[in-house]
Amino acid sequence: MTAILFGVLLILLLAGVPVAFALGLAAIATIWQGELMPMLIVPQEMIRSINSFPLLAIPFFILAGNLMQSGGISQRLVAFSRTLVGSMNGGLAMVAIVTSAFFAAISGSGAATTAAVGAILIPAMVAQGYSASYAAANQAAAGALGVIIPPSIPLILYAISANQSVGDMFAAGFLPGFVVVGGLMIFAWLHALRHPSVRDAPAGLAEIGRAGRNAILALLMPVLILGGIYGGVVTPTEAAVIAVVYSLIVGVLIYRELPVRALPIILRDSAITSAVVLSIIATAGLYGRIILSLQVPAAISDFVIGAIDSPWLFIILVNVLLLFVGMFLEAAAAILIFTPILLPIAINFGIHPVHFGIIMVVNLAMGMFTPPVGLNLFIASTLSRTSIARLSVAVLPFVALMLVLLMIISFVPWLSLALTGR
Amino acid sequence: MQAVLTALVRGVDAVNWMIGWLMAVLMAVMTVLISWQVFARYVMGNSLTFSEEVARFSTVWLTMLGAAYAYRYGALIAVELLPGLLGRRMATTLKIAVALASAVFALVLLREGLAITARVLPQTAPSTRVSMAWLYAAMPAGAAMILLNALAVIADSLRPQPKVQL
Repeated sequence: MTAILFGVLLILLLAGVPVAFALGLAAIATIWQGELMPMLIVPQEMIRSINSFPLLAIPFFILAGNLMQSGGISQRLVAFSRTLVGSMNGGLAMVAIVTSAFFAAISGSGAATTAAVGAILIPAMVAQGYSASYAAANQAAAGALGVIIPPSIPLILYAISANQSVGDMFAAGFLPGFVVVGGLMIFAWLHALRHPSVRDAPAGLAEIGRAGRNAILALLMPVLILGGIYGGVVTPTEAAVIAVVYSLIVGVLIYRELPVRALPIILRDSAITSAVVLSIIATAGLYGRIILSLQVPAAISDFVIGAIDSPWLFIILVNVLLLFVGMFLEAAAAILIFTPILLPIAINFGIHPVHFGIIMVVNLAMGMFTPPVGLNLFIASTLSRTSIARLSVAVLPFVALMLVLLMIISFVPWLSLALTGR
Repeated sequence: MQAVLTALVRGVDAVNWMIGWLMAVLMAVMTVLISWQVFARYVMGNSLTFSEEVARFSTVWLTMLGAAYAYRYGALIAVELLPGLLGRRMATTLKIAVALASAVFALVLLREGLAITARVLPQTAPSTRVSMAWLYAAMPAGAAMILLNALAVIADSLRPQPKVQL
């Protein structure tokens, strides 16, 4: 029966059935074949998976991200980052990375980060002599920061399914996020040594101050959101709705770049994007329930604990498994399905649940720009008018770099745990 | 035959158009309710009881109707490796097969969704006191829309020059 559960899913996914439907169909096939339980469990478990208050943070963070994208916030973040690093060797590539980090700190998704920052910076990089495929690959990789730096939708999902506090998971994401920013910056600098391009004129302190003042409302936002959650003042869902109201006020009333008549379309598009993520969560919850009822986690855990005795080896195995999974399965589904299977084994090996969550999320973030399937890759390909095939080659050095960073984050638990106060 | 297919596609697209705006309304309702809840709790010092429940129910409706809408316009996340490798004719056949698989999922969800909605009809939601059927009906409703849209996708593939009207 386990073979049906996994086999049917794999076949449906490869055939191109949408992930949300494929998870549901594989669950239905297993229930039907094994006469495990009444079919009524299908709608029941789907409702149970999405009828949850913490999950409401997801549509709100998506809406806030779209409002910020249309409200002039990304342009100001780009202008500020340019005064900071634009004059350095490989300057504009670094601007893309730094702006992605800022944007990641106000949006919860990698796709939103890639789209918002890439739309401005990929054309700007091409104009300064960077190749379109390098600019797109750099942006697709930097977009992964969107889910590592809090707030982050995958971190919320992990917290829910691992029974950890969202505040702790958010605090844990910071330093690993900086590690990725640092790695990408060094890589941009090295790349520019061999492929020189135009740089910005160095900005004086006055100029940095001016750009900083223009961007101050955007820069204050992460302080407000994350401070509120981490200080225990508001729940993540409430913080997300505060982010919506804040970006609405800034975009409509202060920057005046967000016309009120654009709001219905933004609301509708955000609702559709939310439904895409939440429908996967609904059927992934059902699929996870079937996995549990077949006692797959116990079987895998017995096998793994019997076969290997070192936590390091376990972490490497997890990384290999999740990299493979992340190539085909969407991050939300992967977290909901694999957390109940892998977390008990991790705890058994003495790995802290918060650290383990960061390992999972960084891993799946990598899957977002790893060929053949990656959302960031598709977005960057559209923005740069580069074919997926060419971009898949250009992104390979970034995949290798990310593997190194992933190893650092995996083997230095301090990076994930230092800010959680544990 | 062509006329029937065109009518089917146009009809489903008209329903989708309405659902698109209904989703915008649901999103707005959720935002207003939860911001009101935050304002009430931190500024006025009293907490709302019904806002969370209504927002959760809205999210479930938004998810189910939105999944159908997103499927129709190719926005649902899927592995699009195989269709890219196949020729035009084979890709169309595969697209129809995928739509049929989606229709099977929708049919099971429709049947079971109706059954569970009927079963929870007498139960009431804790804070709004409405019937729990208001929550569970999102399942058969969403399933029916997925089914309709799967048929529209098939009809589109069978037409000589498929045109998607947003």
